[in-house]
Amino acid sequence: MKLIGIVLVILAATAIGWEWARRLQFRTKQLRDIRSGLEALETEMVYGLTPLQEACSRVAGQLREPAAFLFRDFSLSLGREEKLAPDVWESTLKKMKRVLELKQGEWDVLSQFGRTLGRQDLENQRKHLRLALTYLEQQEKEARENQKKHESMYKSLGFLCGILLALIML
Amino acid sequence: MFSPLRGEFMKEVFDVLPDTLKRLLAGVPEQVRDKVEEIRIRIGRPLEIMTAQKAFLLPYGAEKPYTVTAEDGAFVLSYLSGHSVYRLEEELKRGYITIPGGHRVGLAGRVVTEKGSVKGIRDIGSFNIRIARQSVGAAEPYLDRLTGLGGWKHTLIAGPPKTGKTTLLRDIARIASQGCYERKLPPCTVGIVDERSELAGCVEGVPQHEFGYRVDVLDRCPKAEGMMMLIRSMSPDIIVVDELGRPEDAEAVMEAVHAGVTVIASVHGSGINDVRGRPTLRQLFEQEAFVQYIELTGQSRFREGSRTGAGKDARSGGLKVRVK
Repeated sequence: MKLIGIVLVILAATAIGWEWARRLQFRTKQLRDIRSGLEALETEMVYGLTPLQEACSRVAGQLREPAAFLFRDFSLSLGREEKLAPDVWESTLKKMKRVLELKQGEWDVLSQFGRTLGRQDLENQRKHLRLALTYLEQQEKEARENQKKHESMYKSLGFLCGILLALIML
Repeated sequence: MFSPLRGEFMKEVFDVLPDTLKRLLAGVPEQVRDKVEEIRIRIGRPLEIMTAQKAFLLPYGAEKPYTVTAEDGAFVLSYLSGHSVYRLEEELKRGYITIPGGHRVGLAGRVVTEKGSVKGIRDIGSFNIRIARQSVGAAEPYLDRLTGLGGWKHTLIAGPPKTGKTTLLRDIARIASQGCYERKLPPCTVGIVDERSELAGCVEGVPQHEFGYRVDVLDRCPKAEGMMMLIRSMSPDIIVVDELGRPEDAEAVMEAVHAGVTVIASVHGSGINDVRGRPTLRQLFEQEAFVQYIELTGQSRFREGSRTGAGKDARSGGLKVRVK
């Protein structure tokens, strides 16, 4: 009976450790997806001169979930609602807060970028896109380093914590 | 969404307006709304509509006019561009946008220049929506003079601004492309060079006015080059072109005439004699490029009643035709 308990505690702690490590991984992945999404959007906007709604739905098609969801939801809402693009972008971001593993700084950058979305001429639009991209790139690099550093640590830490807990309880 | 005018010709205009402005326009009595030629939206100032005779501030008949807000302006620009102002590079340089239905929206605001030439308009403070109404049948009274046994004649239409030159050209292009059974006019291939996107009112290369099947449009193309392009690539029977003026236009017309293509063109001027004296176009008269001249004079534009019927009657009042 005791043995089963010990195994359960260790398993649970290990699972928690893995979950933390997975979040680190997700963050890197999502940041990369959003960044490549914005890059694709830049191509559509600057070179293809595609209308915003269509550009976003095309970008969504090229991406993995959940980053694709951000662009798809924005594109759909834009067609549905009688609102300016920045307002629609803002409300889409709000919806995404639970889905994406981003930090406040990144949300701020995305919402800052949205404030001018579709409302400026080519040159300015491009500048804002570039600005957001540079920041996200930096964050992605940081996240990747973070992941490398802490991923295995979280995993083993979970397992070790489990053993510690079990020992204490014995 | 608020859309009081389902199926009406002004639907396209309503599509680019926010709800606040739509409501104001919907409050205008129908007999006035049918004659509206311009809707002027200026941020911080009242909304104004203009018919050929009169201007009204909205709301219609109210003492205190509605002031257009910056948000209204942002909405109009957003809807005009489909939430994508970055697509309007060329339009912002030219100062107008053509919307579905062939209506043109003029823009004014803070102009950005680069090396002395206009690069675009950035903060837009005024929109002027000019309603395009195709006067189907406007050219019918002239058909006897425009056509002969050999089909259509080389024609030059002259008149001051706002006398209906473009309207007339547009209807000529339509009849030529569709053909006319009663007059035994076979349908012709018509090429239109539309430098100002006004004649055909193209949106993304597709003409917004009714032209029949056999019309090819070079939208926003310089006239002289466009005429040569059409001759080389589209083999038209007739070339329709608006507002000749530059020396190279005259050369291109000569080229087209020699190539056996019928040219129907318009030119600004108070009359044929005025145009004849112009050095840039003298060559055309010396070489007798045009067989037929039509002068449009006076205020022939006031339209009462229906859009098609009365228009042509009023216009034929100001007509003088000279045959050489």
